[in-house]
Amino acid sequence: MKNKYSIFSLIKNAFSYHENWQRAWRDPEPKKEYDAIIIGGGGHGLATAFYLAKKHNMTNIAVVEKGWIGGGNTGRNTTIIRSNYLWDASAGLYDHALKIWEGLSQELNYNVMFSQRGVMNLAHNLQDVRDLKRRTHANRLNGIDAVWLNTEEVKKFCPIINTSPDIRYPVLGGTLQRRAGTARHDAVAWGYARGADAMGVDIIQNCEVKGIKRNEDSVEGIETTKGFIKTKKIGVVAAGHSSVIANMVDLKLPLESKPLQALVSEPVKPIIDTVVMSNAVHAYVSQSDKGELVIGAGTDAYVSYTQRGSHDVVEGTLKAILELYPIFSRMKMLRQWGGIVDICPDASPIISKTHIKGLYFNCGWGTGGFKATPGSGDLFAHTIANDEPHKLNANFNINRFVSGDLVDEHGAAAVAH
Amino acid sequence: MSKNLRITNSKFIDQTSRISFKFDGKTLYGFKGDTLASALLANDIHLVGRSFKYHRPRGIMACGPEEPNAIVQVGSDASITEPNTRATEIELYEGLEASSQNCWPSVNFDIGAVNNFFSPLIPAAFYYKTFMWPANFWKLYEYFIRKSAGLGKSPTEPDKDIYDHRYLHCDVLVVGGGISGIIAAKIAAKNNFNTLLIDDKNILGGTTLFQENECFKINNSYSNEWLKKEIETLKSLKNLTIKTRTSLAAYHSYNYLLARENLTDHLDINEKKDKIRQRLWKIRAKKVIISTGAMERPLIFNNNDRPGIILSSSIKRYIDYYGVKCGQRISLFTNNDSAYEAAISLNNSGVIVNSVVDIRDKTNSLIVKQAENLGISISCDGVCLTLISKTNKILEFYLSNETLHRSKFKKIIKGESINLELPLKKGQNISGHICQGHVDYVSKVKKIKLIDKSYLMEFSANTKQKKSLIEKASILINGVSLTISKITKNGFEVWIIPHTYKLTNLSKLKMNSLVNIEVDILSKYVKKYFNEK
Amino acid sequence: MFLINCPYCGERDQSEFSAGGEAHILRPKQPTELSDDQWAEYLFMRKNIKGVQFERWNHTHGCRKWFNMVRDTSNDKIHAVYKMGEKPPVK
Repeated sequence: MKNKYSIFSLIKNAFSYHENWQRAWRDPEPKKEYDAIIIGGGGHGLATAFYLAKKHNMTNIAVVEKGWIGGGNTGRNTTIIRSNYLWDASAGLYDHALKIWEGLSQELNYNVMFSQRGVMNLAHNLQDVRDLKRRTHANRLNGIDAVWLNTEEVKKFCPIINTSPDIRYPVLGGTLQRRAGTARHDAVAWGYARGADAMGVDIIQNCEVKGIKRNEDSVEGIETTKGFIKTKKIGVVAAGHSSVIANMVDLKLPLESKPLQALVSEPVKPIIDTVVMSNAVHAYVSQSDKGELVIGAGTDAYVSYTQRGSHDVVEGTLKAILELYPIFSRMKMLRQWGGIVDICPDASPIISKTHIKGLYFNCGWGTGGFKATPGSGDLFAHTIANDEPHKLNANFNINRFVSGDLVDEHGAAAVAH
Repeated sequence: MSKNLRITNSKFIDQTSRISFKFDGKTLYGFKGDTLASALLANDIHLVGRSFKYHRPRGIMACGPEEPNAIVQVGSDASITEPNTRATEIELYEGLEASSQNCWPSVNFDIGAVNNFFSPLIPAAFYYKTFMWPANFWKLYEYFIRKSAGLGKSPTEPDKDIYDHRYLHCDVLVVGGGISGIIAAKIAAKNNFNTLLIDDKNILGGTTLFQENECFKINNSYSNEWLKKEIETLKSLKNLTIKTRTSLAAYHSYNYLLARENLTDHLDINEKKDKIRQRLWKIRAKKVIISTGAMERPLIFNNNDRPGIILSSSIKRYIDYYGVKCGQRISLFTNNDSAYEAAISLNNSGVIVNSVVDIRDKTNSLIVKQAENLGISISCDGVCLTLISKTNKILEFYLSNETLHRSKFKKIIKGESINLELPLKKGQNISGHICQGHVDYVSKVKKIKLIDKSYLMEFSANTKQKKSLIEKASILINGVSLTISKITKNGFEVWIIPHTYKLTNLSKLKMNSLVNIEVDILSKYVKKYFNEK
Repeated sequence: MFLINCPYCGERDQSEFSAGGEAHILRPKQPTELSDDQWAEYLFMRKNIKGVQFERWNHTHGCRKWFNMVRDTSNDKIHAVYKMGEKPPVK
């Protein structure tokens, strides 16, 4: 059992100069065989392992990660959490996640700093107003908190927004989900890793999957840079590299992996207390607990695995930010980076079995996977353990691209990607 | 102005045009050519801000874009104020207003500094481990966390300034206008390549601009004079564009680079009006030469972040370029030759160099010899102790493992006296570290004899150690300079006069007590001389 | 920021171009005769290669012509460009 984290453990460890803290997770060598293996040690993969162990009693499992845990999109996103999606299926999925977020710090005994400071989506033209109002109604029918704000209410909720009618994209109103907000992304990966490890899950870093061994229609194990590991169940949670893994078993996925960039400013004292997103001008901004403005840019249109994008995209985003927040003109940007996002044609994820027995995919989260981390892990764990999807992810099966039963969330995405 | 630390012979500072500026509300004066940092140092201001988390005092540590500590808020107007700006990069202009960040009510008396006291309780990532109980209190905890985070303050009114961007294509882009960049740009342009040379400073030349030392001559002239001529020839080259006050901001694939040119930030408040403030250059270059030189890496010792501890290369720039003394008495701690350049520059400008403490055993380079010839005190194999705290009666030092192994501090016991040589005068701020000189070896007391109020003591030394001992030569025992009266079979003898005995811890010595021995520096050279022959 | 050698105009900045996805996906001659699986394969499934990929680009803010590109998606190195209808110069 892990030592519990609390103010008392901090005080106790202060006396030994913080040199005697227990390791948050072990660094084990892979065993010869596991009951299940998760490929990908990001937030979703670690959450999957955590819930497999916690809810389905599968503790003889491993998470294999090519780099270090949380080093991919988990550590590169803009940490926004919300559930105000248009369609019932999406609302069910994302609100399931939001409910877990609300108790996650206590569940993990790890402060993920989930901060419900609200997410506001702005409308800049008549079509935006209609779409967002429709979405507000749809959300409320699904039991998700959402309110429509007029321009004055927008200004009142976030006073630094330029609501002048004279700008190119004037603010005509917006929706607000108060339960939405942000969390500390690294803490999510580390909290799940620590929790999973405590229940016996092996987290194996610096271990790249080179091949998947299959016997006709079922999987037998994985070839890795640390040797062959036998298993009957493989859950792939490899985000931008999902197609690379799929190609190992000649499976084609409806995915394209594209660069998505984000940036933060130098830290300043509190200036914006909520998350504001705008689809039309493509800008969203929040302020981290450290004081940095956190800004998300758009995707580049081409496939790339380089984790870097073009300057045009960043420049376009900053221009939009300055139109909405002219006071930020003299703020200096501190860091800029890119991730590889795997995008589905309908902008909704895949949490699904495949036609190969024992092979499961959790991918296609595109630009908005972070918010779903706990829900995604929970539902994927359910799907792997029972070899059947949970009713909340039944719609997100891979077969929808054949049947045509798509969950088209392009319009409900917070910003157009 | 408490003290004026300006010397009068700087070639780069126009001492005929005085500029007034405000720092933390106080009106101060500098000269045209100063940066905010050099002007503050000239006014003997070291403490300029507070650190992010523990609110530790922050001073000026460097002299350029590498500055990690002297980060200030510029401008008090809500539309043009700019947070987190390096004092070392702000050119002084008439009407400049700057203030310390992350401190309340003032940088000198900062309530937040209490965090430093609680630092054992708030180590890295402490917030992941706590603030979880009771669950609904997180909102409250977070309110205070957010309030204490952040350094400067965002502007609250729209920016009134104008900005611009432009495209530029070139065959060769040279980044950095120091000696190597200047030569690279010259060769490129002479070979008919369309060349762009950029430098972040307001003047080309890098550190060679003020390199006026015998040891660094080029073609028989001082390197600064040689470079001056090279810069003159640059100006006549046709294919060359030079942009100063232009810093590289990004290097994208396919040689696509972004650079920011500062156009008005150095102008007086009333001259800035209606002019473009900054221009973003979008450069596509066929070839890129990075000639940015190197930045000095700070040495690691406890509390090396405190105000008054400055990179030696920066001390040299402040004295040679800005004509500013970083202090009136300066100690240098180094692991390479560059600190001796600073020592020589300081010495030439009348600053007292307490000593250069060099962690290396010995050096033979010309620059070190030059420093020696000027009479600068040098301690090789030195130990740098950091003063941690000073209370009424106790000075607390930090000793590393290495220090413990090398010196007699390993065996020191509580209550034992040590000799302190303070590089400080009463009333001065303790602004840095106190350096114990080199320790050659540790000896034991073999004999103590009282003869007519004086003491005769014998100390142990083996055959090898004895080689550097000469009768009537000086020797340092626990830092006390004494004369060897006689070399004995197993060591040497010294006489200790009553005055010395009374004032130092030599009076506490008993049989077999351990002492630090530092042999006469001259004897070392003599020994080396004969060894080499 | 790529520097793209448009087969019609020469080297231009990436900002003048639009990416058009994977190249050489042939539109079925008789869509009505396809099974759902085949239609999904044509419409949605992509190789999404990490490595050398063949793709289409359009010189939107230039000649406005479509052309093909061979590019390594693992390092963004452009190996070749060629006109529509031409055979890929490298395999």
